[in-house]
Amino acid sequence: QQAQGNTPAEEPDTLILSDTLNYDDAKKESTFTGNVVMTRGQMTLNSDVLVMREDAEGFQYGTATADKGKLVFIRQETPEKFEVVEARGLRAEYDGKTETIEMIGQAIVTKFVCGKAFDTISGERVKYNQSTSVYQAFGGPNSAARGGRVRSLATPSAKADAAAAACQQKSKP
Amino acid sequence: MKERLPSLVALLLLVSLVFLSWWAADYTLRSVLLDEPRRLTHEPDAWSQKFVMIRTNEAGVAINRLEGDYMLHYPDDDSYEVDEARAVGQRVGSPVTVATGNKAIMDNDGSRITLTGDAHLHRVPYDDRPALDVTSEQLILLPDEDVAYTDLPALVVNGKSRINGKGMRYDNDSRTLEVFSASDVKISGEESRKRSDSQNSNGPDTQTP
Repeated sequence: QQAQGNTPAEEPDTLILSDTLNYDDAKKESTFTGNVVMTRGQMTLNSDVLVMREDAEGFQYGTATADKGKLVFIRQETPEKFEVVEARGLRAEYDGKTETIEMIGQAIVTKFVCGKAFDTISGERVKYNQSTSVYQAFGGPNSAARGGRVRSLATPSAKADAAAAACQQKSKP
Repeated sequence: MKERLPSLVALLLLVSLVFLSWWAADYTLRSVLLDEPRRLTHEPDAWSQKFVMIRTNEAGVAINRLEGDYMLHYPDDDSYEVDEARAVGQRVGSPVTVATGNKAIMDNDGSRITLTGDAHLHRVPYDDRPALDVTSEQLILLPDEDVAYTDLPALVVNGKSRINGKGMRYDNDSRTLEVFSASDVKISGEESRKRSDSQNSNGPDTQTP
């Protein structure tokens, strides 16, 4: 009986807008500079410089940095749960193989449900795994929280579920 | 005064001799029909059909080839105008590039070829890298540097990635592409999808009938 090949999840296209681009085909490395906006599925990244590279297996890795005085901004939407995750930091590292985003330096990650902020994590480094929705936060001298520590504000999930249900109600035709 | 007469007469003779010889030379130059001076107007002096022009490097290896349906040569700036041009770059150590355009102008001693009208540069695949295609209304090739650039909007297709931008420069020697403004890149997810399919298919839990 022929094995039912489950159709793989729809892999989103990656769209990158920027002022200039330097693409090195031999090294498989692209450097986007100036007002960089990267969109990949429901995730959007804004930065001043974005360096994308590809490994031998074809996975993509990205490093985004911002000019002095500005932060890299990442916004990830999950419409079905009415959730939005916003992350800010001096530098962002994207690992396509493990599907993790790491904010490095003055890192703040906030989860919104139905437009209201529910969970906030700030530290020097905050690592967010897109496929497992697991966060990891690390303190350090350049932490966004006082004293170089990690500060985490977590709201009871019941409240989040209630907010999501309210949103569900509102969005019903 | 009498003693000076002979020297005066001698001087007079000398001056007239000089003037006479100058006049004779001038008259001769004017009377002999010399070649017309080079025409400064932009008019062709030679043409060719279905031509192939090959340039070699110092070792005699062919590195560039220019073909076309019809060619005109202009003596005033030593330029060539080619219809349905096809410029092939085949330098040792670099992938072959084929550039085509409705019209091409080759000047600067062959060190610049300006392609206009559906200009298209195709770089063949090499190693594991897919082909790279640059299309624009105008492409300027620098065969000696193995470079192609344009100041106009251009589209680059490389595998499943599409790059739009205004003003581009592709260096085939170092395989680098620069987009000077309004860069808009789309990397298709299909490529990574194909990779994850190939991983899923040779994964451990693939059942076979």
